[in-house]
Amino acid sequence: MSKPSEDTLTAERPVGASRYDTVRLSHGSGGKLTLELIEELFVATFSNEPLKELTDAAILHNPGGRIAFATDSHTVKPAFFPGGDIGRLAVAGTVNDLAVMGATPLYMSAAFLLEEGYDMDELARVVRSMKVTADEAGVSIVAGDTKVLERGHGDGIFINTTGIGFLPDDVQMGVAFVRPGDKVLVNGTLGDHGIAVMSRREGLDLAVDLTSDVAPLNGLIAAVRAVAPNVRFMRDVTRGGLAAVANEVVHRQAFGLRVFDVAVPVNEIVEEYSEMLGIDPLLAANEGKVMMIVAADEAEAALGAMKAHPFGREAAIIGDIVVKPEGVALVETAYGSRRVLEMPIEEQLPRIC
Amino acid sequence: MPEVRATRDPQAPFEPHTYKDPSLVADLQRRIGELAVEIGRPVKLMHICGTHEHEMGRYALRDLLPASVDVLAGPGCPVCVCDNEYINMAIQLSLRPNTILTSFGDMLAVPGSIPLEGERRGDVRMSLLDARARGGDVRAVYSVFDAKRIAEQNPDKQVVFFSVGFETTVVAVAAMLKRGVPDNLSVIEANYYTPPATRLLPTLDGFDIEGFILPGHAVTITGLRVYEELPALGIACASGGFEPVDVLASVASLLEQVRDGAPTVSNPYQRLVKYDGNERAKAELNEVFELAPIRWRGIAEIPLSGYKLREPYWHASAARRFAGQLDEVALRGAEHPKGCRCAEVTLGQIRPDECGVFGTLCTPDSPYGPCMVSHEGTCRAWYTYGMHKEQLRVETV
Amino acid sequence: MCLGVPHEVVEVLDADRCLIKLGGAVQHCFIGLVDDLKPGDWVVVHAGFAIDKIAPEDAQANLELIHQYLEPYPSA
Repeated sequence: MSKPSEDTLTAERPVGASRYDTVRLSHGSGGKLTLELIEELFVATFSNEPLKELTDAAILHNPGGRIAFATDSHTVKPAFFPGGDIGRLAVAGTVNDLAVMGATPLYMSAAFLLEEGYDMDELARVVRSMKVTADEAGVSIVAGDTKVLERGHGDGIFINTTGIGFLPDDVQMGVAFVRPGDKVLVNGTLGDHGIAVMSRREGLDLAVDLTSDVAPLNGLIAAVRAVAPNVRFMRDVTRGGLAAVANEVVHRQAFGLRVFDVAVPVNEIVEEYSEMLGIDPLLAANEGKVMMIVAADEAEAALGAMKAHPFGREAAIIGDIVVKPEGVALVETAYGSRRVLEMPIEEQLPRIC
Repeated sequence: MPEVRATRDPQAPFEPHTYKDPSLVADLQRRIGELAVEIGRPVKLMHICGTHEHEMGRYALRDLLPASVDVLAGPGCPVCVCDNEYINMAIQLSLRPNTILTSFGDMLAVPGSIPLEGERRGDVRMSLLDARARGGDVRAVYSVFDAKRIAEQNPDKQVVFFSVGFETTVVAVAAMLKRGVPDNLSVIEANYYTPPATRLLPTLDGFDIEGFILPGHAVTITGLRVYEELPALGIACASGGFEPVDVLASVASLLEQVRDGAPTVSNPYQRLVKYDGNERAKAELNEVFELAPIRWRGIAEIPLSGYKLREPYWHASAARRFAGQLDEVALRGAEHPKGCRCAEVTLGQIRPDECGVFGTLCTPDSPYGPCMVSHEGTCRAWYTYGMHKEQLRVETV
Repeated sequence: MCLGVPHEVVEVLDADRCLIKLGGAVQHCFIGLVDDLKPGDWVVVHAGFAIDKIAPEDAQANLELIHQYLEPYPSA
């Protein structure tokens, strides 16, 4: 299981889709060009039976259980960043939203809003990346839509992915099941994505290639649940970082969440950059990370399962659920002092002065 | 001032992690506890640097101090003291056609005093983020050199650098201007010089601070000599670095001075700070900037406490370059919204919870004044971390 | 706020610029305000420029000084 490399993404565009170098308004108007684009880029790449039918709606097999349903729109800039791209992000993001509910993701739709003039080669790379990521996750992209915005009225490319997963009736998870004594785990280093993206944005001329952690986590989650069936609660850690998830968990609850600073895995490079920029890795964005709250007696097994998985090598038990203080997420520092882990309010910006 | 010479291998490589070492922190914590007992009464200390407030919050260092020792945040948060006028100028310039406004991230969310039209709450004032939402080209930069690069890349636009901060930051601007910048770059001169504010504080009613933790990087530039007047007023001083060991060492030094009734200017941050500072940096700073009166937001205009460009560099002054084009009335603006007491908080005269709007009308989501906007602002820190030790006492199963 | 972090100098490019070690890679740093730098020296970097250097003997002396604070001696 590997991330899409530059090589797979620069392979030849499907014939026909290469007729135009850039996206035209007509590609979104529902006529001949739209059909060409759909058939020769999207269908050819995503390649599954329901999609090939090209009907107005996909008719899908229902394996039973409850339906999990999630949607997300993506507009990351730049579209390609170290370790990933908007396509991978779009697929992994929705896969993870479903997987953290305990559902098995199966189907996904992908809707594109493209700005007139968007580079066709880049679009092909994005689409290929989505296919690679979908294959990793075992999902099929079975429906989609394409619209084109006039030049100047879009930001290159927006992608919405909506996903369906299936949740067996006997799976019970949620904040209501969390209790003091439970352990808090994450599957790896925190802050990678936020710092990686920031390092490429204008104004920050940072030399190092930090790679984002964007990844579909359903495989890892399934592996953990196989050995630790009593997972209480899972949430993917995205914008707002671990701090946002921790605060969501404790909000108005009769327990608190404690994180041990020394136990939090942070990439050495991310650590250095976040010191320099004045950004807390606990508040920085992630894209391939999940926070799990598990029963204390299953914590070691869960950790082992994570570490055995390619997306969990740096996993760690970072904290626990405490009786008091209630409704509070806190950090215990290396010095034994304690501070509140604040709910992030605004976008993280470099703080220097 | 006696300096300690190395007795071990002077050529041993420098280990930055030493100053984060938990056992050294624990030792200092114990020592501070002993000193507090020896002193036998409450002692109030003050730091005057936003980064010190940041580090105290990040490592919860106040948690490690005995109950009788209090460290207040003084007027060292550049976001909090930067006068409305400069924020308003930055906002106006960002909305000017073909202009790029560059700024450190810290300042983007701070409200100036230009009312924000169309917002439901009538007293909302515009910040640079609001200007950006209304079409202003506002860009966060990490360093003044980034602003120069943006100016080089956009020769057809005016690029303005919103230069906030204290001694440490203004030095880079001086160095950059001295070495030459493109014509389309100009600077909003909003840099402040700390020592005059520390001389103002003891004149205020109810001042009961016994020691200052001096801002370690500002004094790296200026040296410690500029604080010599304070011990003469009975106030202890100690340079403070920013690692946990450095902050606690500074507190320990201050407590020793208080205990002995022997205030001086000590140098616990000896590895970086020299008594006369960085001569080269001072020379370049002095060549480009001179000290002038400047208004500290909500406080007062303090003589010789702001940095303004000298005549040979007037061409780089945004205030001069755009003089005819700015709405002078809007620049001054009204003061804080009614009820905001940021100035008193910044001077350590009141606690945040003594301000009538703290936590009610003024919260991090909808801040009235800079003390709540800035992560280093005292009010923000209180709101976020301000729970008492009891409330953060952990109870497990 | 004077956020400044110590970094090791890897290479001195000219009077105004050097390369510092940063997380396994190198990064440009402005050193126009610091004299006599050589690889292996440490500088404290704030917003892209070095504010001063940490000489090894000063670093050692700092540690000694801190240890002195830890030794109680009688009040004056």
